[in-house]
Amino acid sequence: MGKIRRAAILPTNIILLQNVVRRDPESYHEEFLQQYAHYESLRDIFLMNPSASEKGESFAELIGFVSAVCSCYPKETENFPNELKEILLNNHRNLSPDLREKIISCLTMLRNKDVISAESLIQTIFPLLTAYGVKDSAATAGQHVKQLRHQIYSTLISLLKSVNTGAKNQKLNRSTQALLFNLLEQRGPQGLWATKLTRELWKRGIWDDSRTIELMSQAAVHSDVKISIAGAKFFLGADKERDDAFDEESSDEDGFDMTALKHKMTINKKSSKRAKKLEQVAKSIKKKNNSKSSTTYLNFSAIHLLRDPQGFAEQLFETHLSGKHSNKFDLDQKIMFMNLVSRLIGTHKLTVLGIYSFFLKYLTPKQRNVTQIMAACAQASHDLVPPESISTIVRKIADEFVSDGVAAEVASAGINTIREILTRAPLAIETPLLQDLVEYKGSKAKAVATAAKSLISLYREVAPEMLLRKDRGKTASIELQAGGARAGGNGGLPQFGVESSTVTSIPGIELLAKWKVQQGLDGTEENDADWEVDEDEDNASDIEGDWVSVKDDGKDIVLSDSEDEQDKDSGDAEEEEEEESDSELELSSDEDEEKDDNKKRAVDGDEDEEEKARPKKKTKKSRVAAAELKRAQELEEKEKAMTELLSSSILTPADFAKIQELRVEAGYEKLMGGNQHNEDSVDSTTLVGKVKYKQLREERIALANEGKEDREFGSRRGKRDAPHSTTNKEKARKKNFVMMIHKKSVQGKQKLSLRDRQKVLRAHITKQKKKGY
Amino acid sequence: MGSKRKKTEKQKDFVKKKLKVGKTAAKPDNHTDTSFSSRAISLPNQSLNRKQTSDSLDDKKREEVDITHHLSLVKHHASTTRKEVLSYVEQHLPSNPSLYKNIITSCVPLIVDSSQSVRNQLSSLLIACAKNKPGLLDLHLKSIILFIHSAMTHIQPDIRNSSSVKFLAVLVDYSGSSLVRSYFIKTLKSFFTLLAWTLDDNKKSISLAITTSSATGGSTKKARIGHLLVLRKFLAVALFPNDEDLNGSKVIDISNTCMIHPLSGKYLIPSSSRPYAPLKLFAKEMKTKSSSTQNTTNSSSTGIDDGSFSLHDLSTLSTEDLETRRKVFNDVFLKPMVKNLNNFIKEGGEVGREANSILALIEKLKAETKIEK
Repeated sequence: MGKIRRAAILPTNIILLQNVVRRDPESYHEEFLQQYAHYESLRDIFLMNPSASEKGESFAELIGFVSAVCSCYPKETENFPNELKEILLNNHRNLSPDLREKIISCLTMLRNKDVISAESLIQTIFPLLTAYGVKDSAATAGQHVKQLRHQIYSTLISLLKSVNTGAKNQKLNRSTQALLFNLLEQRGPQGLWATKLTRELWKRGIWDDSRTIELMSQAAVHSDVKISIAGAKFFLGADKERDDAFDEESSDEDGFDMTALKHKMTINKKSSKRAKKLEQVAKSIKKKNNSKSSTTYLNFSAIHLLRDPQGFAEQLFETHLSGKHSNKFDLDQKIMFMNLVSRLIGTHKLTVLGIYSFFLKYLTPKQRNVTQIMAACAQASHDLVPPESISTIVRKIADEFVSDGVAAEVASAGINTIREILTRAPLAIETPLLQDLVEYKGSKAKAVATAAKSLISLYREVAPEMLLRKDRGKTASIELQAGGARAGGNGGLPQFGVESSTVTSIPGIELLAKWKVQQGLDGTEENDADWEVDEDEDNASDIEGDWVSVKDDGKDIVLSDSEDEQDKDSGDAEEEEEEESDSELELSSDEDEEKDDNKKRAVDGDEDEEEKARPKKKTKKSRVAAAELKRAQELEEKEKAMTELLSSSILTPADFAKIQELRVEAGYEKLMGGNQHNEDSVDSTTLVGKVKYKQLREERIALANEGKEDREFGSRRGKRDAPHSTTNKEKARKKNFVMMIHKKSVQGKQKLSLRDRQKVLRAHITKQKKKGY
Repeated sequence: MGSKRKKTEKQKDFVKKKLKVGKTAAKPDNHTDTSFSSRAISLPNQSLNRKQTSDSLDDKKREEVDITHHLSLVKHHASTTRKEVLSYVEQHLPSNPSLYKNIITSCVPLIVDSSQSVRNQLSSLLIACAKNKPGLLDLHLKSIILFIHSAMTHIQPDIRNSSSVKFLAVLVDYSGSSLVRSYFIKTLKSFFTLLAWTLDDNKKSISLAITTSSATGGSTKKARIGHLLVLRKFLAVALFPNDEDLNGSKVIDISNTCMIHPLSGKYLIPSSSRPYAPLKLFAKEMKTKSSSTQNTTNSSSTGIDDGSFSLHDLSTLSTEDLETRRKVFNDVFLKPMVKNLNNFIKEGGEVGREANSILALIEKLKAETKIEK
């Protein structure tokens, strides 16, 4: 009887069979063998005449079946994956698109079941990505090549993503990158796929190392226009793209608030459902934190990860901008390369001298998209370029753009660009030219006047000597008078090749010392609360150990138990050095980094106290407004204060916060020349400044009506909010007067006493006044 | 009290329109536009003109055109059409031998056709072809046998049971010797899966086979009779020297004839078609075993001294001569087959009788091999 029942459920189609085989592989072994034999015969039929593949459907069905159940019978289906691979690699041109798609998806499935390795999958499907060239489009007419590529592309992306979750699979990444490198070495347009893949993976944060960047830098110098443009676009926009993607992701995630849920649990009635929900949320939060910490996500921008920025920038400039093959790019593409090269130069402070004379050709007001080129000019200048090469650009811009005869926006664009250049390289202008430009502060056009004023304010900070006396402003001229007595003449100007931003000690430490003295605080009495870092900055769960105070021979030393982050005992410096190197690596948040920086400086200061004084003197010589004697005194005082402070006490996070505050108060940043602009990009749209054009009538009306759409005027009488029939009140109002005249309600009004009448009137007045409230 | 406007409108209807030179007369109000536009679809394949031109050609050419036209309909979606096409082709088998290739290649995929009647028609067509051109099936054996194997393992029971062996029978009848020479093992294996017999004598697989035998194997006794019948024919051709061929005067027994040189027979044109097919020099096939596994099987087979074949050797073996076939059959297939046949005999009836006759055949084989030894 059992036999009959079994026969009744015997599957007669593949999908049913697949279902039952999955559930009970042992009992359906025979059926599986039969279907495997069927697959083999169909495969042989296919191989006998691959081009006339009309058997596609059943063959595809069987392939799907076998690959779905092959993990149940590993021994029998030993060769199956290899056969699929061979069919795909050798006969992909003959396969019908559906069958090909099926085979690829089956191989992916086999990868997911760990039947084949990720490497072999990539090696199988990667050649197909580029197998169909653009040129032989006639041969690939009915092949649905676009679909195929899309499938392979998404398969590759999801494969690499899944392989790199948790820990990165560097081996696979390397091998894939090697494939992409090979692709880029070919001359054809196939390398575009390399850039596409890399860009996507970078955007998702799957690939974030310097090899990836190397790949893209190769793409950027590729001879093919499309590939090189893709490479350049990557460097200009990929970081923003990636950040956007991550922001999106994180904003998706915070759908629930753990504290709120816990609070609800204490208030609401406790039920198993709610408890379960809380548990679930806790689990998901934990998982989220885990995944975040496990992905070693480097947040370096693409440009910073370049291995050889100088070589890259030179090659880009020579091949794509100045070389004889540069004609293949149109203007927009050239501008993109200018932008990229100038970003590279600015960020890494490179020296590509050719580019400055190259820019000269384009700097005319009639040039299309000239603002973008001007922005590139500004980005390409920094303080390590010889000022004479930049000053040619400045002069050219001044000649071409800034004159009385040109339109306001042209002049303002010129002055703004010059200002942007000069913030990066203040020496690139001669005094007479600067003073000429400054004269435009009285221009009638507002944009030009603002631009000129911004130029003035820049030079008030940088080199007030170069301005006319009347333009210097109060503080600058006071400083100049004090300094002028000392140095005299041109001595206060910044000099080429002198680094003003080198730091040897904790900047602002003397301010802290002074402040402490003022407050009457000594180094001896320390407060535990000072050590407390703001809890908001890092999650409570992230902190591995809290600060623990240890009493030791009467002096408070505060140690963190595990990481030694701020374990700083100025007594033994050599121990400190070791720990310093550790702790630097471990810190992550911005605040911490800054702190760490400061700390490092402090250590340096400890180590070589004699050396520290010299550069400081040099850097501040021009700026610090004090008489010679006073200055020396001050310096000495500073030094003393610092040594005293550092040797007697340990700086707490609160101290650093105070230093920051005091520095801001004292305008320290300005003095140190701390605002470095060379890494900023210049936005070409802001260069023109705000130009007000006369508006059309329609625009003016639209502007006037803005925000007034819902206002209504006139009486609301007779208008109804919701449709309804006439109320009794309305009916009474409309009633013929003659019919009402004898009614008591009307006649009675005449007979009211004076007092009552007054009451009614009063009530009416107040009612009228309250109307609408 | 009609308004003035209405009055003037009414009057307007009765005013006679003036005709003007160079302008067409205005249409009356009640005019109906009866013009229409149409679009034509041209189907040059179906046009009558072409048939007339083909009439003008000579007879042979027309026949060819006709056949190719019909062959294109072999993939028609309606099963009756397919069947009619096959019967038409059967009735109009051409004299031109070059057309037979087209016929076979386009018709053979119908072996796994879903309709019973189409398959029947196809088998009669194959028989007709084989009768018309002897040796034709030998030439196309490779593709035909592939489809037959695929049919024998088909998931649809009716395709698997009823018709697959029918085609095999045709092959056994008309090109038996070349069939057994090239595809003896594969076909025998397919028979085993068809009848739900197992080759390995694992305990597990045996027990499972018993439970599933009713399911996959001969679901109907009738089908099983057919299977056994064909199996007996197949074995008879495969395991015994073919008397017919020897008697048919075409084949000359080289060893018996007097020659200039004893080896000159080797250099003559071989009598069988495609004599080097088992070398698979030009066949595009998958390597079923990777080289490493091949090595291991080889070593295992050499380990056994008497050189008896095991199940794993079968895929690499060619069964050109009678001796190998007998040896393979004895070593691998004999034991399970006898056991299963005995099961069938117990069932009795027609099936038992067929099984019995196969057993008799096997006994005969045993006797012959013993004599040889």
